[in-house]
Amino acid sequence: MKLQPYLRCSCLGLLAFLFACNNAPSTPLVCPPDAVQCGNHCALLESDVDHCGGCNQACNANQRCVDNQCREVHCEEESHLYAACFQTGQVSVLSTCTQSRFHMALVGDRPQAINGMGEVLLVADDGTEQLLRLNPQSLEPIGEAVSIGQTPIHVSADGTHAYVINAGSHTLQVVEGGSWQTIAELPFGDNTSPQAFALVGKQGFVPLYGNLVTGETSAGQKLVRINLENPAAPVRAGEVDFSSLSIPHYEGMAPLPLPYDVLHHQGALYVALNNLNAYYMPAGPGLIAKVDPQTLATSLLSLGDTCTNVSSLASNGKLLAASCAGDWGMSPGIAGVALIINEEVKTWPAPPSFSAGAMAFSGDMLWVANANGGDVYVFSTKEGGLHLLRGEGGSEGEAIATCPPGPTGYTTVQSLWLKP
Amino acid sequence: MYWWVVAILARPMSPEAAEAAPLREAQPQQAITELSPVSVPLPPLDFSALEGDSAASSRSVAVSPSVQEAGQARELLSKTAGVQVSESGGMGQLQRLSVRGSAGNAVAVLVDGMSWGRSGESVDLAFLPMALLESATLVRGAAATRFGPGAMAGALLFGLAKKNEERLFVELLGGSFSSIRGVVGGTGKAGPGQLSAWVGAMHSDGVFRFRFNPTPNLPRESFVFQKRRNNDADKVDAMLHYALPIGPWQLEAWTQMGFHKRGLAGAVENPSPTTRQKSESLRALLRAEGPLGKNFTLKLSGATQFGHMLLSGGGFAEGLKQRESNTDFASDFSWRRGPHVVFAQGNFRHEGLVSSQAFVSRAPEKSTAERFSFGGMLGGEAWLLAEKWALNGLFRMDKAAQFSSPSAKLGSLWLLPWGFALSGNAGRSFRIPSFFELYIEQGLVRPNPELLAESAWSFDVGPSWENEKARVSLSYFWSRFENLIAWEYWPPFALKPFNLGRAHTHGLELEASFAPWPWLQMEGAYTWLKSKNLQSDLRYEGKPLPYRPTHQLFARLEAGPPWLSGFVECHVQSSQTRNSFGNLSWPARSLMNAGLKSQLFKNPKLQLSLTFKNLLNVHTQDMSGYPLPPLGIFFGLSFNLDKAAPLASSPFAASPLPPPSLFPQTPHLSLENL
Repeated sequence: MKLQPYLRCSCLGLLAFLFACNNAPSTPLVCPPDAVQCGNHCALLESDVDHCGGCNQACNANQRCVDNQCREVHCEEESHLYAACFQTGQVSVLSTCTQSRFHMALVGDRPQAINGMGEVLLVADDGTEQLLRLNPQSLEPIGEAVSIGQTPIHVSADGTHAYVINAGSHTLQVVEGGSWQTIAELPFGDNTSPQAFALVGKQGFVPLYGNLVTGETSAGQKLVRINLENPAAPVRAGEVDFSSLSIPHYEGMAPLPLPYDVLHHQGALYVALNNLNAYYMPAGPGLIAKVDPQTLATSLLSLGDTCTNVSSLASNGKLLAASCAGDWGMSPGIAGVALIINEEVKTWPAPPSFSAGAMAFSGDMLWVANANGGDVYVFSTKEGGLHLLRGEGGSEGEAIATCPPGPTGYTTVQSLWLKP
Repeated sequence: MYWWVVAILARPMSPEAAEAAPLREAQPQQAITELSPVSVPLPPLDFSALEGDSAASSRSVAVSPSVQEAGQARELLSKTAGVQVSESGGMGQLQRLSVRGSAGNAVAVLVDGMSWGRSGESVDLAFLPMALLESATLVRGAAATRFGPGAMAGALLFGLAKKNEERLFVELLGGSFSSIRGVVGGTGKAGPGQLSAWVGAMHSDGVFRFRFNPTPNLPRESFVFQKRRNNDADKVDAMLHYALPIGPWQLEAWTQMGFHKRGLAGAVENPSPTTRQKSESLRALLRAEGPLGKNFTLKLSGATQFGHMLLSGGGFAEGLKQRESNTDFASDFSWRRGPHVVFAQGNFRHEGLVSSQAFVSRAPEKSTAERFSFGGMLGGEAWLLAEKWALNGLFRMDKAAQFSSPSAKLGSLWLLPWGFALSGNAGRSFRIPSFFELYIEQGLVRPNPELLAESAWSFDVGPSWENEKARVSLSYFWSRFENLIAWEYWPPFALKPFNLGRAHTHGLELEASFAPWPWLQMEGAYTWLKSKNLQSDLRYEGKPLPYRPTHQLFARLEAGPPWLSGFVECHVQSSQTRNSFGNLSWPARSLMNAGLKSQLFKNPKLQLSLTFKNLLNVHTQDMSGYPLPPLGIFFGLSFNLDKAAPLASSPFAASPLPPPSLFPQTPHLSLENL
């Protein structure tokens, strides 16, 4: 049976047919629609000081890029706000003067937490498990990175040490600034999931969340005090157990305090309590715990039913702000931002799909990241209120586009830090 | 001396080959005629496990004659090049298979022709009824195309332990981690046919000590020992099989029941003392095969599967349930003339899944999915040039719900002088997304009904050589994957799949075996694998895929007469990255197993064994946070009573090379990432 001629023709036809059926779409690059790729950066040519009007066309130090041109901009004061774009591996830089993004760079894989140490920007990356030191102007790396743990959800620093909270590895990691070496690591235990860190003198405070996925919530629900007299040998020195408190909740709901953030403000510690049930749904009004750092005496402050699932805290020394994630943007009317002045609460209700996340104060301006999107809302807190300047319904325009969408179309601003 | 020649040539390489012949001496009252030695040409290195595909890159291994050595799919498949089995640690716990750098859901698993699991999902090898299986054939690359959507990178074909002789057997194994494993079964004539029945059971506490570093970022390592808890597993599998010859036709029916429960210990940083999984399954198959005229054969098959799974405890609180039912029909037609063959197949599959959650959550309380699949295949093989050159090919078209796609394969085998051969294969295959990827909301999983099917182009080529005592094969393979599905974070707190991935893998597979004498056998397998992420993302493009070690080596030496033999084997793996960015990695490792075996009697056969698993007590892991067990010691007892000699002409004679499954392709929640 002669098969060869038939096989020769049918093989070619077969291959052509199969190749034509391969209609795979290509994966989009992680640059926003209004940006172009310049080297390793996504550049906004109309506002990027390093690529103003074109790649590598840099503006001078006292200039900003406005409408594709370098122009001198005068502000009474200006600060830079750094945002961690978790989905795209980038850090975005916003100007509090122009209220716009003017610089963005690819720094790693999954930047999760940002802070500063002296003149250096610290970025904790979840994907690479590294703590990076970056030049705040160019966002270029400085020196070697330090290995850190899983899910480095928080980083902060005093003048000499950096403190990293590894939520996945359940440790507090202390890095010495001079040698840039890890000098201590304090484990909190399985399923504890530490979330944040506040330094009061020589004491550190860490909220332990617990683990809803494994059902081991009892490992958390605490605020742990740590003695840092010797940063190379941190020691646990007391704790607050929030599960022993009477947590306000809705009927039929079994609340879990779930401490998520901690902040030192006007001599007291304020702890954001998510107050959720085991399925991440708000179980009661928004709650903040006020804790005396010395005696650990605790009281609860309710933010009401319009500001639930308190997730982040910020302070400018006079005002305390809380972001309320609500039902993660899935239910209206229970998310927003709260301003606490002498324990009086004023709230701003968020529009649908907005889930308030990380926050930072610059003077009287409050910058709030949208955890359900890549933009930042801006509020004025002058006169003791919350007035929306930038955002949906803002008096001065739309929210500030900060983080571009990732390959899935979703994005989030994971962390905000204001460089003084 | 003739039986030595036959025993060696009657491959696969297993102790049974040397042990089978003495049984002939036990046959009483027969005149013995000495025959001249006969050289029986073997299939080239077990390539030809598939009808009409002599060039297929495949490797057949006999499941250990007892549960003592293999027991788990990992130990069995690790002997094969191009394969990587990763596990979560512990007997009865999750085991996943990767072929030539693919994801676990790109490998179809079939047991006696029945798809084991739902289309497009990875199969947890821990659920396989290993005690009831006899052989495993791994089909790699393009040759697996014939097994339909799901066999994108390979297919794992298991053969049931169907025996045609009358026998009774009991096997027990026990040892470390409070493990005990056993199977009891028998075969015999029942009316005009042959009836076989087996029951296998396994229990393991899964408690073992492992090294853990609670401060992994300190410059100095400080390990503590912890105990792995909630890592137990219990499994019971039972099977009834009946074979009935009706004239020239053969009817076959079997049913299998499985009960499996286990603790889900979780990662060591986030252990779960209460999360549990329980599952039950029932499968049945009916098959008829016979001639239609002189050169034509027809095979009709029908199979059905029912399964139920419950996740409870931990974050599942009141429970997450899953019920599934699958039905398959296939008709296979083949025409043979001498060595040439043409085959065709039509198949139909229905899959249904209901997932329900008895708690208040964002996901709906009940989520259902149903899918109908149709497929047709046409292929053939011709032997040319005085039957020295085989040329084969197949084309199939499948439609499953909204997905329809062709797949095809071309192959060639050239038999050269002095035992050499050269083979090559090329083809295109695809994988339809699974129910969880497309439709089912369950726990923290969100579906994406807009997903595209994954696809792959692949080829392999290489020489081989064999003689009566040794075999060597070398193969270069190349694969390119498109539209790979990866799970990404999706608010709030969920994961959602997207077609984000493109990747390329290539490498070498070297397999060799040498048995200079019946009492000495050596075998080895080496894989060199290079992978590259082609995703258009500056963070990942051009970097190796995680969890794909570049070098893997397996070597085994077995020596001794049946009354006392021993083996030692080692598995060596090079370092591998563990994140897509490519900066984090695990170090290289070597695992060694060894054992002794003694056959005390011939018939009934009574065998004792002592096996050391992870002899060097290496503390390591396959998945982040899931330690593998340390040194384990196991004692085994095997009893076999064969009433009569094997029937020579039964079509259901046990074979290490099971007939190809022509069913199109198909666990519970599994997340595959690049």
